[in-house]
Amino acid sequence: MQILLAGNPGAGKSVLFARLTGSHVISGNYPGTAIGFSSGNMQVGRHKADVIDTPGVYSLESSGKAGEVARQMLRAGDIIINVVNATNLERDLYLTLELLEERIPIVVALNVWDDARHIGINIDLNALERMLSVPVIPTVATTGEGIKDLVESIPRALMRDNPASSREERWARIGDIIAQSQQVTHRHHTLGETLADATVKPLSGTLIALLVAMTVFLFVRYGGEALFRFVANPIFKTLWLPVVSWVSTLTGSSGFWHDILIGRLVNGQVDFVESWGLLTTALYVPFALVLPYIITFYFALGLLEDTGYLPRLAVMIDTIMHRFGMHGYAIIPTILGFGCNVPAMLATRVLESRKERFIAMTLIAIAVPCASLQALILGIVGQHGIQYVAIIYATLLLAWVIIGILLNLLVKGFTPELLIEIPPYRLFPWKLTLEKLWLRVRGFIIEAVPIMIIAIPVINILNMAGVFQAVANFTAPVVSGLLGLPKDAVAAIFVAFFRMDAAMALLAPLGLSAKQLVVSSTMLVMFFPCIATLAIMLREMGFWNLLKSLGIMILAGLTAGALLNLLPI
Amino acid sequence: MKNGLITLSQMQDGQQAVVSSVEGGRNLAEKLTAMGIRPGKLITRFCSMYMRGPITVRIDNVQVSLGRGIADKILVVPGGVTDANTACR
Repeated sequence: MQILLAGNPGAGKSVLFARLTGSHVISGNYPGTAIGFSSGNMQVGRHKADVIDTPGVYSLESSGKAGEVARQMLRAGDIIINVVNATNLERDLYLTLELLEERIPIVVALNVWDDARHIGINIDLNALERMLSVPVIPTVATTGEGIKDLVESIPRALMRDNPASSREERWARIGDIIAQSQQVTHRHHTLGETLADATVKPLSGTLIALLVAMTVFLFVRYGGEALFRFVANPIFKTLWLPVVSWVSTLTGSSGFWHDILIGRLVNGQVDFVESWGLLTTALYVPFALVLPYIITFYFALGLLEDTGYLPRLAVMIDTIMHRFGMHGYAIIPTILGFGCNVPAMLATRVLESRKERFIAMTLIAIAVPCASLQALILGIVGQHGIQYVAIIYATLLLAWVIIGILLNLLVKGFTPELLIEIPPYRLFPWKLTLEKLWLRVRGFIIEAVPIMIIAIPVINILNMAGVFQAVANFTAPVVSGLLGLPKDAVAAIFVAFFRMDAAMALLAPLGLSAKQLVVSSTMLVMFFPCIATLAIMLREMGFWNLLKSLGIMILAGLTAGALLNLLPI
Repeated sequence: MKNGLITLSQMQDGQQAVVSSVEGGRNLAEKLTAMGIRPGKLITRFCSMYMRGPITVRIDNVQVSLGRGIADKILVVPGGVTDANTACR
C-alpha cells in the first residue's frame, strides 16, 4: 500500500512524514524544504505501508516542477493524507477539494492545530468532516499530538470521486465550508507579533539581519574554537596521543607501515596535522579540527531554519540579490553552502529560472567555502593573525559581488520576481533543531571521514612515488611565477578535489608565509569544487553549463590568486 | 487607473484594499490565487523594502512577500489606512 502526503507548502508535510515513518528528513520552517520526494514506511494495523512525502503545491493545476511531480505521484498512490494547515484553512481547502475530485481515498490531517487555537481560530471539526465527507483529524506534527489518531484513521479513508468542478465553483464551495465550520475571534497584537513584524520592516529588519549575521558568525567562530580547545583537542592530546606514540615506537619510527599509519615525525614527535598518517591526520582533521565547527555551524543554521527567519532574510536582501541576477530566496542556498556545498546546490532548485540557478550555483562554488574548509582556514591561517583570515573573506565577498554582477549581465535568461509566503515564527524549536543537528553531524561523519581515511594513505603513496613532484615541476611557472607559491603547493589543489580540508592540511607542513597561505587558501575556495559538489553540479546544470561554470571558477581563482600575490600583504 | 482602481504598488504601507483582479498571465494569477491573493479578498499592504524592494502583504493569516513587478499587476479597490500596528515603521 502506498500512502501519499499531499498539501500546500508549509503545511508541515515533512515533519508529519518524519513522525509517521520515524525516518528523518531535513526540514525547515520555510517553503520548499522538501524538493523532490522522500519515502519511508510505516505500520498500519498489521500491514506495512510505503509513505511518500510529495513536494508542496497549492493546486494540482500548478505549473512548474512541483505541480508536475505532485500530479504524477498522485496516480501511483493508494491513499492520500491531505495535510491542511489549520491556520490557513480557507486557502488550503482548495487543494483538498481538487483531491476529492480524484479517484483515491483521503483523510485530512488538520495540522498546526495548536497555533490555530492560539490565534483565535475555532474550527468545528464535526461540521468540517460532514462537509468534506472524509475523516478530519487534528494534528500537531511538531509535537506528535494527534499522530496516533491519524494512523488509526487511515483504514477509514474515503474516496469521494466528486465530479470535476471549475475554479469558481470550488471557491464558492470553500466559502460555504468556511462559513459553517470556522469562527475567528478578533484579538490584539501580541508583543511577539510586534517583534516578528520588526524583522520584515525595512529599518529594523536590516538592523536585525546584520545583528543576526554577526551573532551567527561570532557564535560559530568562538563556539567552534571553544569546542576544539576544551573538548576535541584535549581528547586527542591526552587520550589518543599515547596510543599513537606507542604504535609509532612499535612500527619502528619509520618505514612504509609507519609512514602509512603514523606518517612522518616532525622533530621526532607525532604532529596531528603535519604527520599525514592514518591514525594521526586522517582522524585529527575531521574529528578535532572540523567537527567543532560543523556542530556550531549547523546548530546556528538549524535555528535560523526552524524558527522561520530565513524567508524574512530573503525579503531583506531581495533588492541586492537582483543586482546579481537572482531574487532574495537565493540567499538560502548560499547560506547552506557555508555548511556544505552539496546540499546548497540541491537547494537552488527553489529558484525558478535557469539563469538564476546557474548564477547561484556558480557563485556558491566560487565564493562560499564549506565548514570543513573554513575550519582549516581558521585553524591554519588564523595562527598567523585574524587579519589574514579577514583578507580571505573580504576577497571572497568581493569576488561574489563582481562575478555576480558580471554573470547577471552576461547570462541570458530572466530573473523572476520574489513571491514567497512568510511562515509564522516558531519559537524554541529545540527538539527539531537538535534532531536535525544530529542528522547533519552524523552525515558529516559517515560521508567525510571515510573519504579522509582513504584519501590520506593514497596521497601519501602518490607523494612517496614522486607523482606530486612531477606535477609540481610541470605547473611551476603558474604556481610559482603567477601566484608566488612554492611549486609543491600544487599538490594541495589536486587533493582539494577530494577533500578541501585535507588540502589545507597538506599546506601546513610547507612552511608557507602568511601571504602565501592567504593566496593558496583563497585559491582553494575559488578554483575548483570538490568532487561531490562537481557531481551534483553536473546533474543539476548539465555538462555544457558545468564546463562554463568551471571555466569561470578557474579564471576567477587564478585572477584572485595573482592579484593577492601582487598586493603588499 | 480605471474606476478608482489602483495597483498594489500604488497603495501605501498600512493601507487596506479589496483585490479586484490580477493583470498579466494566467500563470501569475494562478500562483497568486493559490497563495490566497484572489479577487474579493481583503488585503493589507503591510510593509515595503527600500529601493523598490519587495512588498509584504497580509491576507487572512498569511503573509506574502512579492516583488514590485508582481505588485504592479495586482489591481485593488483602495480602502483606508489601518491601525499603527500594521504600519511600516
